[in-house]
Amino acid sequence: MTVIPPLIGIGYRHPLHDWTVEHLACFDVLEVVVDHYLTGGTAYRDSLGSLQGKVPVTAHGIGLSLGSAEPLDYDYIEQIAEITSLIGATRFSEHVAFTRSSGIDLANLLPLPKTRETLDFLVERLREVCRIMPVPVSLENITYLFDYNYGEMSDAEFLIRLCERTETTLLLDIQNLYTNALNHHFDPVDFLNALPRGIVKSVHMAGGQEMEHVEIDTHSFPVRDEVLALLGLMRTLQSPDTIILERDGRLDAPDEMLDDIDNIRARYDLAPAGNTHVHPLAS
Amino acid sequence: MSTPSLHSIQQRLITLLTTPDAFDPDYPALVALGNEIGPDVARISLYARLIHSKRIGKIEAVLAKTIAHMGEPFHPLTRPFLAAYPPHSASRYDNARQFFDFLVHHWGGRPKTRPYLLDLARYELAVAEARTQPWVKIAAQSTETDRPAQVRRSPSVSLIRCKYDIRPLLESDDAAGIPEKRNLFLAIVFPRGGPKERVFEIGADLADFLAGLTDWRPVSATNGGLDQLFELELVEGR
Repeated sequence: MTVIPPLIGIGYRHPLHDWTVEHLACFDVLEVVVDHYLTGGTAYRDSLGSLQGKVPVTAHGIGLSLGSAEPLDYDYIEQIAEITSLIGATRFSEHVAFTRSSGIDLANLLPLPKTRETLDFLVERLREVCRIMPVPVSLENITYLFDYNYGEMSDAEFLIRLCERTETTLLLDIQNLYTNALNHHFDPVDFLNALPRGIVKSVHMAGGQEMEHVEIDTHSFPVRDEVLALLGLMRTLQSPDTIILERDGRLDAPDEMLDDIDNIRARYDLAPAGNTHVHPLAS
Repeated sequence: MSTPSLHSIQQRLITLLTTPDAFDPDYPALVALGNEIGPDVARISLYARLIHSKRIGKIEAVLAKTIAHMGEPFHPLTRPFLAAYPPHSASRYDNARQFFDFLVHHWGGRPKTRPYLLDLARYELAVAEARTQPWVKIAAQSTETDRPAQVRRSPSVSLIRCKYDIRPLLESDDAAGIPEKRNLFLAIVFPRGGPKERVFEIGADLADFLAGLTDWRPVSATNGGLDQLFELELVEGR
């Protein structure tokens, strides 16, 4: 059986628009944060519009707060559904997390207790989101600095059950997996081995940093060798169709991302990024 | 002991994480929550600091010149700000707007020695507002034609009225002294495809006209003279 290698690209960031255009041939795909599109102003939307049709895109969300114990924001969901269609994305992804409660929006992802009760709650909400979204939905594993002492299942078990009950797939953030494994002392290989084949449809890669003896997922530095090694292992277990490199800090050093992209391609035995690479799905 | 409800635990966590007292891992409410839900109190505290640092970075990005001209250290102000103004959105503009409201209160209405700071802050907020004009479905449906039948102010235009001519402060980081006191109307626009704002000084009549042009209006109901406004992207037609 021929295995089609994944599309490999970056998360689109407006401050790096000119750099992205200059290096567009290095990327098979761009991931667009729908919340940036929603609130980024005409300059953002015009810039992104100039890339329409030149490269495939996927849609990613950061503002849904799927796990908030309050009513879903249907206006927001309808807007991001519209934007997902507008930009021609073929998949939408969001985090298994919450960011809001009682009118306060932290704009940061917080973990949910991994209990059966939370799972039931998430399943119901996620089905609503999937009903409205025009494309398949993927769920991303987050990093968490703290956990709840009354969890009833492991990270992997919780995510697998959620995906299976909602017929969604997993956006596996390997940096997040590495970060959680380091901070909470579990084996990331066990996590990868627990995932059923086919559940991972897309992958996030990023680089973090250590602060106060804790690994933090800052998206600011090159991808660590350990995270690349986990990607190599994941490749033997799953067949994602998209791998996205995320970068949100130290944007003054974007060329580091080209090295990261080359390192990711190398894990798939692909040629380094550049004009010579044409992905079979990218045309 | 039964587990807390999802809503109550989320409410308590978010309230704690927006309290600057939680920067201290020994803060009693933090320790109590840690005892109840998990042992990672120091990490909840670290998370609180990271969240605040990110939020303050958003405010600094929007109000850079205001903060530079304040004449008092910025960071000591952030703690009372955080205590009084929990975040309601992820947007830079909304958080900067909250800090502006805090500053106005902190200044007792207006800064005594640098009264032009209010204008400068309003200008920086107007730029952020114009830059982050939210997407609305109807905007995608509007079309530009040679002879539009209706006109409105471009969504990416912000208008401000200043009591001081703050433009020297905008043009140079080294500008010193109190700007000249005079009424000044500014229109700020992000041109289509342009990375940077353009700022126009406009007359009071035009400022009033544009301020009233928030909804589509028949071109025939205006007094003409729209060509230049279209050219400057201060208005749009359909």
